[in-house]
Amino acid sequence: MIKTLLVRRIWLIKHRPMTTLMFVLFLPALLHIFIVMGMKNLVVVSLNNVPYDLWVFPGIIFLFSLSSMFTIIYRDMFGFRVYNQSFNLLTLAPKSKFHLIIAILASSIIESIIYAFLAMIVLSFFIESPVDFSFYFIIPIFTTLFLLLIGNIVITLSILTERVSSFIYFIIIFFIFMILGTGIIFELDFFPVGISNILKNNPISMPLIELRNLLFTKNLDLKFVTIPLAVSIAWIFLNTALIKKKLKQ
Amino acid sequence: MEASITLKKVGKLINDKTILAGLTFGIEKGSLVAIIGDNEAGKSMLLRVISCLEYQEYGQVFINGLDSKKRRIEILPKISYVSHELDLDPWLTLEENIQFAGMLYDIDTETINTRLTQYARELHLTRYLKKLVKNISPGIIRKGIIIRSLIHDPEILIMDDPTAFMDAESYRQTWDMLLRMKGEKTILYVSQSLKEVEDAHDRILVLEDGKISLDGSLDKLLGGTFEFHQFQIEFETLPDDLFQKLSKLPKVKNASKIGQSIHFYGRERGVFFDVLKNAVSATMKDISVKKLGLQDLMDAKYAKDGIH
Repeated sequence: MIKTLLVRRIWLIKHRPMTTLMFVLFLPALLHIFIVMGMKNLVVVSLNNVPYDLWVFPGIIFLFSLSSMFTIIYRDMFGFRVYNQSFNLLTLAPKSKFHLIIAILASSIIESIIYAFLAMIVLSFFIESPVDFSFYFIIPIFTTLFLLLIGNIVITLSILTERVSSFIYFIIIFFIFMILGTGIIFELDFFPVGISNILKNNPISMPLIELRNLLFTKNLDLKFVTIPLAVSIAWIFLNTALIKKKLKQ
Repeated sequence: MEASITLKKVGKLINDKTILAGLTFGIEKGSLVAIIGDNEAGKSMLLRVISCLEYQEYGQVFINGLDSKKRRIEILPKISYVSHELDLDPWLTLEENIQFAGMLYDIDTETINTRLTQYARELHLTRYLKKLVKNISPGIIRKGIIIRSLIHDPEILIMDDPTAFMDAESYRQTWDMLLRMKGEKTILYVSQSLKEVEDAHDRILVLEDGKISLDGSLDKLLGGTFEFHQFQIEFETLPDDLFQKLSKLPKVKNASKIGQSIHFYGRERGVFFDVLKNAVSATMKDISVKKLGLQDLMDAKYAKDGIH
């Protein structure tokens, strides 16, 4: 089923190549202009003395892949379940609901990772600090971990909401939280200690924190990898149960 | 004959409202069965339950002897569901939509394309295959949905208003194909068009408030319920006393006056001549005699009260 969903995504891209190209080329550029070009005058280097444009680089990739993931799952799951009912076709395929959730997650993550990789290449032309070659291997791995969590959140939202207005409302709140509360744009250490500790121990923040540790200090605490992974796996089971209940299947 | 679909005391509730109430019936393999009924009678829900799209709260549904709740994954390749909605992906071509469905059932590309070509030719759809669905008219999309439902070669076709939005030619092409499949595939469908049901049926199930109120062939249903003809005589002027006189004739049933016309029912055609004899003094403009059909059967007045 993963292959089938990917083939459908390829067909969709084939029908709107310019839109996809614009998304891959211009969104990273816009994020760079509005985040890096403004913020680097305020935060020249990170607390670990990493130039801001390099420090924020993984965060921008996370933000970019987040937007891609939202778009894909919104269309393929929420839109097709609530509007034209074509999601029924997927639910009537002879596969388990667990298989269905895995397929939706995997296909959307694969597509988002490809976009993220292209965005990294585009972004590397904009930033002044040199981007190490290892970034291109390590960032996609952690982005996958991050997207596993995000994908599960969007799937839950797609299952539970019935109206587009509610969906958008939740998405706006979620984006505000993601931009300000997960260390994408500025360090969580800038918050008061209590809040900073809570935010750092949030599984959604962990992949980015650990990615930066690995990229800039060459340290890896596996705890910050296994916790988001475990939460994601548990969430897949939760989504499986939710979709069965929602669809009454 | 072997049963293809069997329902045992199937009940379905939505927010404590009973949609299907203890339905028990079987459908033979290879038969063509129509479900008709008023809006909100539970027709579409019945199809959703049989096609495993929604579980029933009570009772059991068996498809080829397999319990639909316990053996769902095994059952799904054997059935196909055509929704009332135009549920294709508008941003893919018609061909891609159908290929996608085939791939979901793990059918190899060659088989998908062979079936697609054959059905598209049969439904005169070939020239639309490469078009994006958003640019195609609903009647054509509907034919595409029917091909999509056949792409994994199901044994049972469950269709909610299969010819909705279709023009006369598409309607005929679709029914020619479905009637050709009768015998090989079990076809269960809901239709709002009683003419369609009269033309194509093997068996008709009339659903009323979630229960089967009538079940049988058209002849059996009409024979059992109505052996009447409907008559209409239009006069130049129809005075009340003449209408009263005619309506009180012994074999005239359910007479009504509409404008200058009298409508009535009679078990035999002979009643018509009795009325003519008694109305000879008035000037008649037009007359018509019609054998009762499914439309009359479904007419709420007669379905509930009968002719008396």
